[in-house]
Amino acid sequence: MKNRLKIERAIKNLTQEELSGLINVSRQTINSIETGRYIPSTVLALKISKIFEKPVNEIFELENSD
Amino acid sequence: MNALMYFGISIAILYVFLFGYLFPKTGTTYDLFSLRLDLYPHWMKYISLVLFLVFVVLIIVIDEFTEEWASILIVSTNLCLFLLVFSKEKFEDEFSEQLRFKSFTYSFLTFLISAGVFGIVSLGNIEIFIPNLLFIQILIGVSLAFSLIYFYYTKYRSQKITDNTIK
Repeated sequence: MKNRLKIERAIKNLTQEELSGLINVSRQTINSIETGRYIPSTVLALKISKIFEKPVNEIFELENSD
Repeated sequence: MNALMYFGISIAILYVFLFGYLFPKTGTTYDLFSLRLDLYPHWMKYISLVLFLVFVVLIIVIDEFTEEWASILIVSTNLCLFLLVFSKEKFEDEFSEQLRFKSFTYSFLTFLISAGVFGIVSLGNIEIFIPNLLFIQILIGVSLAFSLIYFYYTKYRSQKITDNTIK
């Protein structure tokens, strides 16, 4: 699964630390999502989409391998 | 009763309380979706490390490495590993939860493989085959240690790897 988390973060001018504080997870979790090592739960994905005020499928995108 | 027996009994009582805390308080259910594991607070990690250091220093000071002291060291190491494995991270979230359960799975696999290898090696030698309690303790310790290694290695890798595709 691909994601635009880093880009969205840059648009909103948020650091990983700030974003992690907003959705109550560790910075490591944000980093792992950005690098594609970790796929967040639906709850977390929805929290992220709420922060960026965009639908989930604009931030997360399925790949052919999924 | 000698000192070793008192030590063993006190450790056993301690484990009863520790398991009591850890045991899911969601009633008698086998439904994993309903079960919630109550992990120990994060400061337990520091207590376990201090405890481990105390035991190591004690053994160095006493300078008498008999089988009895070896068993004390193994049992206390297992206790410390147990506390380390089952205590919360500084920041507990779904990422650390998933990582923890994956590390449990692989450490269980490690336990089965080591127990299996021991079984095969000891085939035909009934003296070794009779379960040696100390050996079982070592197997448990190795599995707990592997669980910690899997967990912290993955966490370390997650910290190190950063996305370089987007500048």
